[in-house]
Amino acid sequence: MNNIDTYKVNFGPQHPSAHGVMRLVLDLDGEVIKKVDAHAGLLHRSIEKLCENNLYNQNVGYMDRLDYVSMMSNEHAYVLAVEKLLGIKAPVRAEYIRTMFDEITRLLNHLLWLGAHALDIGAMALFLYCFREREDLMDCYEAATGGRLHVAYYRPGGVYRDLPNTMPKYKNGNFSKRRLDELNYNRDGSLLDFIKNFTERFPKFVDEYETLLTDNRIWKQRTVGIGVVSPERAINLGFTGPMLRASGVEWDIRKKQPYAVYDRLTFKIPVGSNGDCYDRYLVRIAEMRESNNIIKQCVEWLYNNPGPVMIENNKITPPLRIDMKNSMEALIHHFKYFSEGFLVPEGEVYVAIEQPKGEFGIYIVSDGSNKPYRVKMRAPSYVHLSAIDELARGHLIADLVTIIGTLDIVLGDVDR
Amino acid sequence: MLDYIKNLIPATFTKHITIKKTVADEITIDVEKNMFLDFCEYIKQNDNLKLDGLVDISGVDYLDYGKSYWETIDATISGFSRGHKSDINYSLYMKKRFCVSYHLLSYSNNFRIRLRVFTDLKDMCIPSVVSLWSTANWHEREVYDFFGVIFLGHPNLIRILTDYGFEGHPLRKDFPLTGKYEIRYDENKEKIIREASSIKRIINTPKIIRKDFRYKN
Repeated sequence: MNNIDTYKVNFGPQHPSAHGVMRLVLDLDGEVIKKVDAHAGLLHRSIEKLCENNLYNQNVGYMDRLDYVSMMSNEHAYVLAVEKLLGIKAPVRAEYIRTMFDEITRLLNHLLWLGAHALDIGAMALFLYCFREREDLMDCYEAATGGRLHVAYYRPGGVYRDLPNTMPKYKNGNFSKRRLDELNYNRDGSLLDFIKNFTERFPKFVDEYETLLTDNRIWKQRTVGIGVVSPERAINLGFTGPMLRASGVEWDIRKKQPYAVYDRLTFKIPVGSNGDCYDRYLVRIAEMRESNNIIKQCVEWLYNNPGPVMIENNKITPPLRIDMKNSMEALIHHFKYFSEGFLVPEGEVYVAIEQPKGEFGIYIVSDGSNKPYRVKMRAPSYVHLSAIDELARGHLIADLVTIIGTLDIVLGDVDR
Repeated sequence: MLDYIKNLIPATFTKHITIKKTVADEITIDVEKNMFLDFCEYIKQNDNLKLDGLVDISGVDYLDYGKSYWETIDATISGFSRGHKSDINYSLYMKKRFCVSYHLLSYSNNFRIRLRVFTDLKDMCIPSVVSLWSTANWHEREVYDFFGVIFLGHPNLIRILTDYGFEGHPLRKDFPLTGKYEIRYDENKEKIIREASSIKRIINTPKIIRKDFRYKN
C-alpha cells in the first residue's frame, strides 16, 4: 500500500501568504513537502532593459520599484554606483541624510516583515501595531520628499533637497478638536524634531512586539527549528543580511565595507546561533533597536551641522531654480542636464550596500555615454527565494508559510 | 591587493588569465573558458583567497558597445556632425560579443573580485559553477534566460523570469525594447491571438558619446 506517488499542489500565483505574485509547485507526500519548484517571474517588468534606454538620472525612479518596501536603500546603491563611476562624493550632510533614511527604511521594511510574518502564522494583532509605526515613518518620507513610497530622493551627487523645517499636520476634517491636538502633538517642530521624538518612543514599541511574540508558546512552536541553515550552507547558498547573520556568520557590509557614514557611527551587529526562523526573528528585532540608535546619532549630527546637500558641479546636478532667472550659464546647464543628462566615463563598477533584506548590489557597465550600457541589480530576495527548496524539504505544508515569511521576499525585487 | 592576489595564483593559471585594476581599484580577472572551472575551484579552496561567496552573475552583450546615435567626434569647420548616423563598428573593441561577470566575495578575508568570461554566438557554452556555489543555480538560469548563454553541467537550465513559452533572449542588444509580439482578444475568432508588435519605438534622448578633450590631463 506504500506505493502511492507524491501529488502536486499549486501554491499561488495568488496566495495571501506568498507576499506577491509567486507560484510554487509543491510535491507532497501527505502533508510533508518533498520538493518545491518556485516559478518566479510573474511580476517581471524588465527594469534592466528599461534602464539601458534611459539617462543615468532617470533611472533613480526605477530603483524604488524594485523592492517596494525598502525604497531608499535601492536608490542608495544606484547613486553610489554612478558616483563611483564619475569619481565624485556627495557632501557629508547628504551622506548623513542618506544614512538616516536608510535606517528609517530598514525600520519600514522590518516592521512590514514582522507584521506580515506574524499575520501569516496567525498573530493578527501585531499587523496593526506595526502599521501604526510605519505610518509615522511614512510621514517622515512624505515630509522630506513629497512621496510616501516611490520617492526618488537620492540623486547622483547628493540628495534632492535638504530636510524641511516644518512637519505636515493633520487638518481639521472629521476629527474633533481634542483628537486633532492629540494627532499633532509632535508635529510642531521640524522633521528632525519629529524623528527624534519617534526614536524616543520606538524602543517601547519594540518591547510591545516582543511581549506579544518572543516568549509566546505558539510563536515558538511555529518558528523554532523550522528552516534551519548551517553557516556553511548559508554562505554557499549566497545568503546575506539577517538570513546569514541568523546562521551565526558575523557579516554586515555596514561594518566590513562601510559606505556613506557608517564608519563614524557606533552600532552592533546582532548575530544568531541556530539559523532557524526564530533566530531570524530575533536578529531582525535586534536590528530594529540598532537602527533606532543609528537614527538618533544621525539626528544629533544633522541638528548641529548645516551645509550643502548636493555637490555644486552643475554638469552632474541641476542648477538652483533661482540661479536660472539671472544666469545664462545656469540656464544652459539646466537644459543640458534635463535633455542630454551627463556623460559617465567608461568602465564597470559593482557597488553593494546592506539593504534591509541583505546585500543589494548594482553592477553598471558604462561605455562613456549618457545612458548606462548595462545595469544589473543583485537582488537579495532573488537569492533567498532560490534556496526555498532546500529550506522547505521535509517540513509540513504549514511550515512553508513560515519559511516564505522568514525569507522576507518581495516579488518586485525577485522578478525585477 | 592586486599584488597580493597575483602572488597567490600559481603558474599553471597565469597564462590563461589577465588580472587588472579597473575603475575605483576594483579587481577584474579575465579567465579563458577552458580553465574557468579549475580556476574557480582553486580560488574558492585556497585559504589565502577563500572566495567562498558568489554574490552575483550577470551577462553583458557588447554588441552596441561604444555606438552612439550621433557622432560628434569631429568638430570640423562646418560644425559638429550632428544627426549623422555612424557606420563605425565600435563593437570590434570587444573581441567577443558576450561576457559573463561573476562577482565573488571572500567573507573571511573581506575583499571582492570580478571574474569575466567571454563567449561568442558560435559557441555559447560556459562551464557551470553550481557544483562549487549552490547559489549559482538561479543566477545561471537568469543569464541563460536573458542572453542565451548555455551553462554546461547545470542541473536544470530552464527559463526563469520571462513568461512561459517566451521566445528570444530579451537583454540582447538586438532584441527590441518594445518586444516582438503583442497579444489581444480577437472577437471574430473568439480567442486570444498573438501578432507582431505594433508599437513604434520613440527615442526621446539619443545616446551620446562625446570625446571631450578639454578636461584631458
